[in-house]
Amino acid sequence: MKIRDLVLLVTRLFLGILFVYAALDKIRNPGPFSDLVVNYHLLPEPMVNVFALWLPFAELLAGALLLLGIWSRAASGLITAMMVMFLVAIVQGVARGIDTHCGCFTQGGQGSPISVWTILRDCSFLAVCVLNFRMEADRPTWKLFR
Amino acid sequence: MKKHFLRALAILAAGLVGAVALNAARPAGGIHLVRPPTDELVRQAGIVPVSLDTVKLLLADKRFLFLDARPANAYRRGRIPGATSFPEEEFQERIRAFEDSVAFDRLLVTYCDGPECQASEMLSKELQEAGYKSIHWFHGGWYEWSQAKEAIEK
Repeated sequence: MKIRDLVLLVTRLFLGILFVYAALDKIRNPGPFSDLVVNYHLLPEPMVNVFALWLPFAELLAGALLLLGIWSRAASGLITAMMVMFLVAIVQGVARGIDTHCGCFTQGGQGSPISVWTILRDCSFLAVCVLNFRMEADRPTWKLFR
Repeated sequence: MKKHFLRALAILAAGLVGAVALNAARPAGGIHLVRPPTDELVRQAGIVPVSLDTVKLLLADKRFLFLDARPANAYRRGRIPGATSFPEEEFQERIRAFEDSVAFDRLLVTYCDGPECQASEMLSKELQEAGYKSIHWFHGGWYEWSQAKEAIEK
């Protein structure tokens, strides 16, 4: 396996598992996730529930497609765009002093409140997204092993 | 490039269809697609409105203290397990006693009869004025809790 393929594989696995894992708790708990989205004060309140239902499914599909290497360039682009969106939401939340939990992986008050550390963590995730997006070539993951 | 963009749109469209379909298939019909408006003033005051599903999760977390703002006789007939009685007519004296025994950073959840009552909203504001920092307002209240056949304490 070439180094390039190895890096592509590792970033696919990392981001794919991360997004599928992040989606599952949100899909299980749409009500609590909707409450969290409201607390970010970014969307008009009537739109929040549709967004709270839609986002985790987009995360799940994009993560699964990236893991498989099917439509992976489109999936990688979506994941990168979502990560930028998360980062903007958290940065404005921290800047405005909004006291809310991230809602990134767990809902309902568990987890840590958003902070500079959340921003740094998401910046590092975004770096992996950009690396993956630049390398993506729509090759199925199982073909990377050849 | 256009091909990848169209594929990304297709993923988003499939996600929307899947999300709405799963929500409709949930036992109680899922959550409303259009979120009901929450009292704007409550949100501006920094009080966190929470839904039934969130409250179920919060109840399992011992850091959260539940405050029942219904009349004392309604409280005696049944309440969310572990809730403390805070009848509306006794807010001031109870809050004074509360301040002596409960830290200002304690995580609080208030509720009253249901979406129509005002007592839990008022209690949330009173507690905030008293200095409590983390107040969660369960606007569905006792009505939603009992309709969902969740555990009650008598």
